[in-house]
Amino acid sequence: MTLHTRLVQPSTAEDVTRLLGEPESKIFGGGTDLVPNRTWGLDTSGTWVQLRAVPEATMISLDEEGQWSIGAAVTLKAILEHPKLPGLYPLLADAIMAVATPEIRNQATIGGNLCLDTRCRFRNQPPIWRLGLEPCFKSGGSHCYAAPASSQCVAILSSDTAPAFIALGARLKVHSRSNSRWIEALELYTGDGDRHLTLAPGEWIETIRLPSRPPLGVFDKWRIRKSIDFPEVNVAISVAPGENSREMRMVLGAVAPGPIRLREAERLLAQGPWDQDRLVLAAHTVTGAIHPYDNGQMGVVGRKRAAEHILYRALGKLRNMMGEKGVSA
Amino acid sequence: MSEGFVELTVNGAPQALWAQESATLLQVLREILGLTGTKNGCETGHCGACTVWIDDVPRLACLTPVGSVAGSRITTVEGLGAWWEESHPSSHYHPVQTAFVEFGAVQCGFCTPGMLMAAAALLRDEPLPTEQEILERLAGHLCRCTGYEQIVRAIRQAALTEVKEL
Ligand SMILES: Cc1cc2nc3c(=O)[nH]c(=O)nc-3n(C[C@H](O)[C@H](O)[C@H](O)COP(=O)(O)OP(=O)(O)OC[C@H]3O[C@@H](n4cnc5c(N)ncnc54)[C@H](O)[C@@H]3O)c2cc1C
Ligand code: SF4
Ligand code: FES
Ligand code: FES
Repeated sequence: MTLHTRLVQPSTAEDVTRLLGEPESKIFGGGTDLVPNRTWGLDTSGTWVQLRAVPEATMISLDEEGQWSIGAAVTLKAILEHPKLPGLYPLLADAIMAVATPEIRNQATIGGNLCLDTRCRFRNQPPIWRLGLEPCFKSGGSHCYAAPASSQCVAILSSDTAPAFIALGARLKVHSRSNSRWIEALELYTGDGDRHLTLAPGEWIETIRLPSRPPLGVFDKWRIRKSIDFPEVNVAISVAPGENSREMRMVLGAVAPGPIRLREAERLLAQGPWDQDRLVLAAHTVTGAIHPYDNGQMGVVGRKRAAEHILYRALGKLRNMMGEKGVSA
Repeated sequence: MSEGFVELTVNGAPQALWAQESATLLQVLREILGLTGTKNGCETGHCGACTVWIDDVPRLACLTPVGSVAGSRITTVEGLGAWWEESHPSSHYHPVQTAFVEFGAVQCGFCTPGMLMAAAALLRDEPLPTEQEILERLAGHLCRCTGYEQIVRAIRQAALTEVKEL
């Protein structure tokens, strides 16, 4: 049975917030996550609030302080085709290029990518497949198939741009009824796979603001089919060269309900020159920092090894990039 | 209200349809308009068989609620030949359609409508694409029969024929 969902297209941010206050209503970005979830009975919203007529959410703009803002409803295609952004923030462009397929990028929005629902191989299945299983936490039940000892859902956030925005130091404007607030991109995620966003009912992301001085950075992703698949693991690393020290952010995604900042690896890399041994050691710290469960396509061991591998590969690439730009490693 | 009239222009003809606004464009094309050229392969964005142009941009009809594109221009595989004929009055088919037949790029034909819509959009944007560019554009299109070789060759040939004629 197909559910019928109301689709509304308000033209002001205030109306969006008001409509979101109604029960069972959700933002509709490009629908490339919502629609397949609805088709499989996983999304049962009564109302979808589409942002395409809200000016703040559909623009890319530059303020007087040199900071670029991207409206949450801007499509991935529009960011990739923007005359300035891909050149200024190649880390972001690489992450966007890694999302899904050309047709999906033509439709998907950047806000939808950040807020993408978490996924799990025990849940993201057709209804007939799920008939054989009692509901788990995310479906209203009281246990988890992927992590039977866990007291909460550990479904995976598969967003490719979330680690990129966190590494870039992007800030998000959260629109709410009382007032709007700015949060760090990492603060968007709770760590619980069931309610994975820190947004309160009625709150939504209006814009994403990038730092005026883009850091150097790399993005890498491991997936089964390079042409289309969600990440089994992804990584974004940035280095902002400062006067005496440099600020570094290493963020791993798709191994937990939210992205993970790799603080130990960051510390290790800050302690000395980036020779081969240090890169190997830094990449190895990931095996202690992440605890994936058997809910992706690849098994737990495979995902840990893939994480270590892409981290090492990304660090090598970043070291070369820093060499070319004359930034000391 | 979740149901109402939705206006669209489909293959050049204006349409006003009574539909659920959350019904997918794929359901509307196939079940209301009878345009079954656009295929339903997976209904979840994984195969590319349902690719159509929405305001000239290739997108997946199975991921598009019809209400979200109200007022748009839709081109399906049934309208591809006519779209081409507008600028090339001597031919009824788009060169990729002819090349797919010539090169045996069609076996069961299920993926073909989606492949054609993606390929024709590519040649519109990039008249002489490299093999790599073709593969990148077809990343979301699965074919279970041909092994892709003939499809890529057909698109290359269609591009070369067109460039020669320019
Ligand atoms: C075959 C296939 C492959 C895919 N591969 C990848 C991949 O490799 N990497 C990847 O990252 N994704 C992938 N995706 C998932 C999805 O296509 C993308 O994440 C896309 O960017 C989602 O954006 P959207 O605008 O379509 O989201 P929507 O479906 O519109 O929304 C997704 C969720 O975000 C919420 N939301 C949207 N905008 C906002 C906002 N402004 N404020 C608050 N909440 C909001 C919605 O309510 C919904 O819960 C894939 C999908 C498919 C079907
Ligand atoms: S991680 Fe556990 S609770 Fe969450 S969707 Fe998977 S099986 Fe269900
Ligand atoms: S039917 Fe739309 S992508 Fe498969
Ligand atoms: S020709 Fe059969 S799926 Fe491609």
